[in-house]
Amino acid sequence: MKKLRTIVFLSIFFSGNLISQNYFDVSGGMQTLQQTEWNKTIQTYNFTRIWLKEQMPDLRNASNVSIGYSGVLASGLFFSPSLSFSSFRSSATNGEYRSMVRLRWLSVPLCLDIFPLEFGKDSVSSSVRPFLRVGGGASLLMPRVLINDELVTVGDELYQPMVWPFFYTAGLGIRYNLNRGIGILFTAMYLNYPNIDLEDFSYALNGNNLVGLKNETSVQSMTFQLSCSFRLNGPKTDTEEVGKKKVKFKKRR
Amino acid sequence: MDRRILLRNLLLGIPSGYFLSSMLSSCTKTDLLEGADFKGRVIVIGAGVAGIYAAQLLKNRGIDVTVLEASSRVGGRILADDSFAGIPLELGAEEIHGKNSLYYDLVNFYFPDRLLPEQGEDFYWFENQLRTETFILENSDLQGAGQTLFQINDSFGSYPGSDMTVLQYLTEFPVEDRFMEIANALIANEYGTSLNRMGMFALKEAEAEYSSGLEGFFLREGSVWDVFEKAFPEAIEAVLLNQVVNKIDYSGSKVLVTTAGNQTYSADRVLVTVPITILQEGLINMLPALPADKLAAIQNIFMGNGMKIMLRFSSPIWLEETGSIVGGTVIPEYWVTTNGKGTTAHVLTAFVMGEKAEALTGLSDQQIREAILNELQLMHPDEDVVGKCIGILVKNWADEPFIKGAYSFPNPESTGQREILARPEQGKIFFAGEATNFNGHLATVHGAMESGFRACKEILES
Repeated sequence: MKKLRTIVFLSIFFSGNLISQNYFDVSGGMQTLQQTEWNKTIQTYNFTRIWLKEQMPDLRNASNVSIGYSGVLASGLFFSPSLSFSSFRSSATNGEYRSMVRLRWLSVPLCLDIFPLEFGKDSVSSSVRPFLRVGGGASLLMPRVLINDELVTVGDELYQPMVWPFFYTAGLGIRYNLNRGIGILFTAMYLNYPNIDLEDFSYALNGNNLVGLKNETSVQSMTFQLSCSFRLNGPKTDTEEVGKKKVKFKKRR
Repeated sequence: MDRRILLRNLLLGIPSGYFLSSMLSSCTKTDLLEGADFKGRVIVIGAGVAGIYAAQLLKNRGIDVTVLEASSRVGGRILADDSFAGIPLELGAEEIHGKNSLYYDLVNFYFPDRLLPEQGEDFYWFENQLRTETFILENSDLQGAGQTLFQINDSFGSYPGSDMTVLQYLTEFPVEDRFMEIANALIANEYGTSLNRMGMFALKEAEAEYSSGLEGFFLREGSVWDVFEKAFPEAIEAVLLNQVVNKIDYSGSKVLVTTAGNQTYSADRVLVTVPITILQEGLINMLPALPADKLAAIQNIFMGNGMKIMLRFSSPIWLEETGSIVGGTVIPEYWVTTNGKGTTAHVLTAFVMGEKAEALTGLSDQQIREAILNELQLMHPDEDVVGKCIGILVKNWADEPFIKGAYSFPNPESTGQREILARPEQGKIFFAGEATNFNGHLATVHGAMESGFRACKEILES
């Protein structure tokens, strides 16, 4: 069964290669977090450690990098898996004393890119191509709490959990082909994590959970990315591909 | 679309995306104390750790706070003696339990160089011999019984059985009788009592939530109270000493607090941080009376008797590597207080709680000295223990008129009672102190601090 699943996954993943319109994207941008519970835990830290003048900010934004692949499935429809990484931080330095929460966030979204203006068409007349992206996936979250650059312990064990929440995502993008080999891509994506449990986070940061802070919460996130997109196996002639068909480009004068 | 137009749009789009995300973030802006707009006057009763810390937290929020302390000093169960050995010796709270706590963070911020990990090796008084942990763990004659002894603590948090005393549990199942004095020292004495007075459910309640760690630390120099004086000067300034509160009237819109000297203070909120024994003895008259379940909780949480006895020697009677000696019949635990503190004085602390402390209560210092030295002589037969002992300092916390004991412990009746004790009454009377800590850190300094925070939050939200 596991083997079958792998074969199905690889078939989908590489189907674009068979169809021959494929892109490799390298992206940079930012990711935002909208959640309340973890920030309350950080606020509790600030509130109780009144001897620290500089306070730890909430976890809000992080820079984000990703690599992705887009392979055409049909005209106007692409399969776009990617791997993205963000590292959220909340830290404060008070003299020699440093407090930090670090939340490394590795995501594997598997998405479909739908180019509504290209459905059923054999040719693409514009090099500016808006699209809708929907999908889902899983993230690997690695929360860490460091005091003076040392990982804290909960009980007598170092606090270094790894959690694997699932998410679904939807957003908009625009692809612009600078030339036949390189394009740029802008995407704005909304990600919804129905439930993430940062095990023992309040114990790790605050040393207690006396006021019933929750480690478990739903999380909304946005990513804004600008990508450089490389065509992997572009046409040998001056054509734009849609599906399996090759179409003549307009001559540019 | 023209390429330049697209580039322009993208360049505009990226900052727009940033602002959009910031806007979205601000939409979900959280505040731990959202809607907490209390601005009235607070009286804190008791200038121990919980009271002082809560007062400082409130002052930081701009609240008018007065702290009323019954005794003539601040600190509660933190007290050091500077004269006995030329260095501060803690007669009350001393050890920092674990690295993950408010208290550890406080010391680590102000005095990181003073944090002194537990020094030396633990020795166990076992079958009339001082043995190392390695011996007890690895001696084949013991057939693994030692491992059971040292690992049993790990199992309390997930205890699946019915409620019984810890002594019954240990006797029925896992620990051989010959280890019972050691078990009493490691489990019960640490909790401030004796095995037969602890309940398995209450112990499970405490152990399941305990999270600060097992590493122990002492202060290399200075005293524990130095840390609090440094950190919370405004709260300490707000203390009025010798104010023995005997009545709290919270029947009106204001709370009226009356002292034995007939002084009356008025406040919007009152935070009670006195030891549980003071509430048990009804030394503070509440008007109206507290609810029945609160009164029951007050009676159901026990505080143990406790003594710390300092013994000064002209030279060490103990082996050079000794950190502590565990399992005595007179004193469950001794430790070498002067280890790692850069002093030429040699002081052994005798730490005795519960029934064994009661057995010593009422004896003169000389009688206590004889009882302890006899035990130490048995443990160190080649040493002139009596001849080398040059002083004794006895601190019996049961003798403190405004404390009357050491700290609360998980007696069978206390299961589920701490949360009731901690509950505010009518949004006017609040409770803090180590006995109100229902998240596993009872009987500790950091547990008292945590309770101060919890009560402060409740007051601000009231």
